Amino acid sequence: MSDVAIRTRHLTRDFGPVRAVDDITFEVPAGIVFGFLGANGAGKTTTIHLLLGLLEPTAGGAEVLGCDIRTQGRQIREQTGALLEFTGLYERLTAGENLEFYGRVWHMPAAERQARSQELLTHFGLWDRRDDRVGTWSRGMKQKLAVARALFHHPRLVFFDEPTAGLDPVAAASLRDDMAALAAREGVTVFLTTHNLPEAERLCNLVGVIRQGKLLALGAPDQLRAQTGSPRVEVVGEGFGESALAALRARPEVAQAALENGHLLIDLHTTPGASQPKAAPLVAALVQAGAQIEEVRRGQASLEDVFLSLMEDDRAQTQVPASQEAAR
Amino acid sequence: MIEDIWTVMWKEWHEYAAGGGSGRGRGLIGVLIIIGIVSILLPFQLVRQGNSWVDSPLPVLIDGVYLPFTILLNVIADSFAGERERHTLETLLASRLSERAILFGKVGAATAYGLVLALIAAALQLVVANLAGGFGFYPAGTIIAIVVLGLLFSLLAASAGCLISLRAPTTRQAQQILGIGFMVLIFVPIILIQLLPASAQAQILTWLNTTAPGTIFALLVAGLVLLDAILLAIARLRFQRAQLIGS
Repeated sequence: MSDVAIRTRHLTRDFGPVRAVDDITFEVPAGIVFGFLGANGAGKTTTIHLLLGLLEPTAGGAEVLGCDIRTQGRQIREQTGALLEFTGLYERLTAGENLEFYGRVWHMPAAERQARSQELLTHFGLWDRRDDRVGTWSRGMKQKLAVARALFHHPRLVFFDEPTAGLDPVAAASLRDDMAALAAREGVTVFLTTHNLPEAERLCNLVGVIRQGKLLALGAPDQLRAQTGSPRVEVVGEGFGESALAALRARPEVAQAALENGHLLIDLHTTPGASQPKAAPLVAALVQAGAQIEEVRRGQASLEDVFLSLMEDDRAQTQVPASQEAAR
Repeated sequence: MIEDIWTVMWKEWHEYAAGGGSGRGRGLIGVLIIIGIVSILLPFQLVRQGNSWVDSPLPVLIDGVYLPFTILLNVIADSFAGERERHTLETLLASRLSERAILFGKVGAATAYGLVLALIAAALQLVVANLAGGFGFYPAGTIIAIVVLGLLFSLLAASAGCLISLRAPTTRQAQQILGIGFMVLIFVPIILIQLLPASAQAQILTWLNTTAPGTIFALLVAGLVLLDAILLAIARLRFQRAQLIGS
C-alpha cells in the first residue's frame, strides 16, 4: 500500500474563462488529517470534485490512492467516502434506511450493514432515533449521520467538505470530537475543507491554504505558524493609551501593536537566524508611557493569523502587477 | 451491475413509499384518486348501463396506456431534478455506482411502479365490474395487452421522464415539459390524421379493419420497443457525471 493517499501535479481546472483550480501540486500522506483552507469560492470544492474523478482536469493530474483521476474515477470512488457541501441524505427515509442504502451501494453483506449501522449510530448518539425520518432531525444530527454515512463502508480516504459549517458551537464541537475520534480509530485519511481555523488547528496534521485556485502554503500548522506568523507578545493591564501605543510603534522590533478586548497585542519583526526580540524593553517602554502591567505572555500567531496574513500577502502581490499594468 | 441497479430501485421504492415532502407525496395522493376514479366509477357505470367491462377495450386503453403515463408523470419528473433540488444527487454521483446503474435503476423502479399500479387498477376494475353485476373475467388477449402495453408505456414514460429530468433545473419544470410532451404524443397523431386527404383516411381505416388485431398489436409493440430503446440510449448518452456536477 502506498504511503501517499493523494498526489496532485499541476492540477488545473477552468470553468469557461474562470480558473477555479490553478496549477496545484501537493501530497497528502496516508493516515493523516489534511486541512484544505480557503475562503468561499477559493476552489476547495472543485478540488474535491476533481480528486473524486467527478470532474476532468483542464490540465495537470492527480493520483488518489494510487488511481489516476482521469481514468480511474470509479476505482477512486469505490475506496473513498464523501460528505460534500450538503449532507446528501434522503430526508424522507429514516436514518437506518439511509445507511442501509449506502451499505448496499458498497455491496456490504446484510449482517455487516446492520452491525456497522448500530456501531456508528451508537457512536454518534443517534441509535434511538434510527427509525425517524431524517427530515425531522436537527442540522447537527443530520451532519453526524452524514459523517456516519461517509465512513460507513470503511473507506481508506474520506472527504469532508466543511462538515461543521452552519452548526452551533456546541454541535460543531461535538461533531468535531466524534469525527476526530472515529477517523483516528479507523486509521482513515481525512481530507477536510473548513472555514473554521481553530478546528483545522486542532484536527489537522497537515494544512494547505488555497486562494483563487492557487495553493499559497502547505505544511504542518506549527510549521506555517513558524514560517508565516510573527512572534507575539500579549500584555494584560491598564492605561494603554495612544501615547503608550505610539511609544511601542516607534520601536524597530515592533511590527504592529493593537488593543483587542482590553489586551494589548504586539506583533514583532523577526530576522532569519537572529534570536527573537525580547519582551522586557517593550514592558519598560509601556511603563514609561504610564501603563500598568499585570501580566505579559509570549506566544505565536494562531493559524487564523497565518491564514489572514497569507490572504493579505497574496492580495497585495496580485494587486501590484494589476496596478502596474493599469499604469502602463 | 444488476446488484447496483437493484440497489437504486430499492432506494427509489422506499422513497415512493415514504411519500410526504414535496412532489411525490402530493403525487401519491393524486395517483390514488385517479386509480379510484378509473377503477371504481368507470367499471361501475359501464356495467350499470348494461355493457360489459371485461370485453370492452377500455381496460387496455386505461390500464395499458393512460395510467402508466398519468402515474409516472410526477414520480419520474422527480427522479433527477428532485435529487438535484434536495441536494442528494452530488452525493449519489460521488458513490461507486456507475451512471448506467443509477439511470437504469431509476427507470426500472418507475417502470415497475407504473406497471404494478396499472395491474392493481385492472384487478380492482375486475372486482368492481363483477360486484356491479357484469360477471366475467378478462379474455387472455386483454390480459396480455394490459401487461405488455402497461410495461412498454411505463418504460416509455420512465425513459422520457428521466431524459427530461436529467437536465430540468426543478421537478416542477420537468413535470411541465413532460405534461406538454404527453399531450403532443396523444394529440399530434389525431390532428395529423384529420389533416390527411379523405382518401388517405379511408385507406387507413380500411387497413385497420382488414388487418388482424394481432398484427396491429405486434406493430404497436415493435414501435414502442424501438422508441423505448432510442429514448434510453439518448438518456444514457446525456447522463454524464461531469455535466451533472457542473450544472
